[in-house]
Amino acid sequence: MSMVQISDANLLADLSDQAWTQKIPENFRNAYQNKGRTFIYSAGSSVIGAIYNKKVFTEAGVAPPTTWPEFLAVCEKIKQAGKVPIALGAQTQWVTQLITYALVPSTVYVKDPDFDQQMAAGKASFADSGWVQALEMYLDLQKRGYFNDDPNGTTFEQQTSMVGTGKAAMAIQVSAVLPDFRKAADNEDDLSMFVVPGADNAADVWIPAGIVVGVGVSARSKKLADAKKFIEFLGEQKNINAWSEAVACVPFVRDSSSRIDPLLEPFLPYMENNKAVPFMDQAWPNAEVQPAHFAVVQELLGGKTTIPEALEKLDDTYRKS
Amino acid sequence: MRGRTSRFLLPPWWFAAPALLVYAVVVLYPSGAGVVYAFTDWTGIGDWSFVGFDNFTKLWSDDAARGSLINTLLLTVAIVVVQNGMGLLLALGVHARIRSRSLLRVIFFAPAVVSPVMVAFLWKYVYNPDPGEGLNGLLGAVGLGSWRQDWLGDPDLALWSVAFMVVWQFAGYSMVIFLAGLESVPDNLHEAAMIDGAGRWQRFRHVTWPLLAPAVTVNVMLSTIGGLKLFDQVYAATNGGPGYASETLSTVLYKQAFVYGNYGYSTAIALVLALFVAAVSLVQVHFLRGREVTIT
Repeated sequence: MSMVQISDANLLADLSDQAWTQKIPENFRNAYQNKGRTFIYSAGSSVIGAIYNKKVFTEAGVAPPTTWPEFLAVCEKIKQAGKVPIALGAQTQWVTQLITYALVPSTVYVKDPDFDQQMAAGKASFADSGWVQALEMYLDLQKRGYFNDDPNGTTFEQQTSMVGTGKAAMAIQVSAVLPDFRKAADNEDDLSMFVVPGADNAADVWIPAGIVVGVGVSARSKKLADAKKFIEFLGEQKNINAWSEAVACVPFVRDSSSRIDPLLEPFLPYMENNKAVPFMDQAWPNAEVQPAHFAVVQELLGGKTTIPEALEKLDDTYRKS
Repeated sequence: MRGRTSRFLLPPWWFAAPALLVYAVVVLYPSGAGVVYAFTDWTGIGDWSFVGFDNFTKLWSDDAARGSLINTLLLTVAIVVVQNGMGLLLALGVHARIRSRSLLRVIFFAPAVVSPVMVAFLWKYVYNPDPGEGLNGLLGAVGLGSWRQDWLGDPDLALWSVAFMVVWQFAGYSMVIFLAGLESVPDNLHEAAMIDGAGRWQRFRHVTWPLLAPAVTVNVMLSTIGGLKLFDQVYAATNGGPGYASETLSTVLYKQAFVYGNYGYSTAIALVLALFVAAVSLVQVHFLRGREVTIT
């Protein structure tokens, strides 16, 4: 259930009178606010990209790519070197969506920045958009043998361990789980991140960046005042910084003491130049579209459906309400 | 004339009253409320209104729900047949006068006392697709490497892998019920049959099997109900995936309520499931009871 649904039911306390809410950047307001009022606190945004093992890259003699053809060439070289290019733990359902999300900004939103609005107005569809291309690219990676065997039987935990221990070169993941990868790594300095280049031309590469976790206050809480005070405390710059460091996200407002995880640096120019798109599901009208996306990706990986059928299913689910 | 109501004022009812009150609050009231919500568009929060039979007509045309119904029936049939077959074999095995039988009974029954979620996590390791791990590793070690599978990740296999996991957990439970049935077969009947020249199979077929009928009734009913309601193991092992390949009615109704926020629709599915389980159980009792015999 989304923040919009819960706040529409008057279950979330309005936080709009707190100082930090004034500093939420324009392009992130939708994630924090409903009808102009702020209901959710989040320290900042995460990105989706490739978390990779530098040692494996060095051994295979490759460097982070900047275009899709380069990305395929890097995977090929890693495969030749006897390693799994991309670890995919698609049995853990939320993991299935990340490769699509990493590609769609470059296959859809570069050309149609207002794709979400067009979808909402019924003027666009998944089946007739760059989503087709993104899923084709996703399956092409599987066809070329760049994923581990049996991604549908592999979990997120196995995915982290494959990259951490150097059995696989990379995983396309959200930066919020960097701490999990670091825990699974032989040496956490082996890990780094790069932007997944979803376009043939580096200038056309866009990235997904969004809020992954937020905190709200129950409007019916007996300790309403205390809870709001706690959120206000979280909204102080030093606490925004501390939270952001702990979960490796980019704080929504920064000062000189903000330390951004160095692994996220390749992503910052995209965020500053408006080449970042919120995670796709945040604009979806009901809670069924995202699980339907998980399921169709598993079906595609298992060879049980086709891209047109999968996207038709997503369109049908989107139109349900 | 004493009214019917006055009986409730007798002392036995006073003692039962606290328990009945708890039962009413914890079971009867929520069940009744569930029936009411099945006819509404409740989303779990906020206002709701009555929508008549909409939720039930939707269930009829919902592909996902229909697919899960088929999966549930397949799972139930597989579990009822295999779990009880294995339970019976185990019971016959440990009923024999072998020395380690007490220990074996404990070992075979042990999985039934473990939490189903724990069992699912255990089997997730057993079903690890990695060729060097779990079941695949074992197959490789005994020279059956070509039998290796992606047990939970292959859409054609996932449902059966879950079924096997459930059978593994509850075959020992069926065994215990069959054992109780076996204990009740008097030795003198076997001896009489032996004197009449009956062999092992004939004694099983004509003496043991008819007298086991009550145990069969209990086992078939319990495993049918368990199969139709199956949730924990599926949810923990595959969450209904890959895709919708192992979705059951219970996982669908869970997702409708707690993931999609369609509480009204979800309670409608739950109501249909409950009525279905009740109907199947009644039919089973009717037929299975009919073949039970008693020693006179």
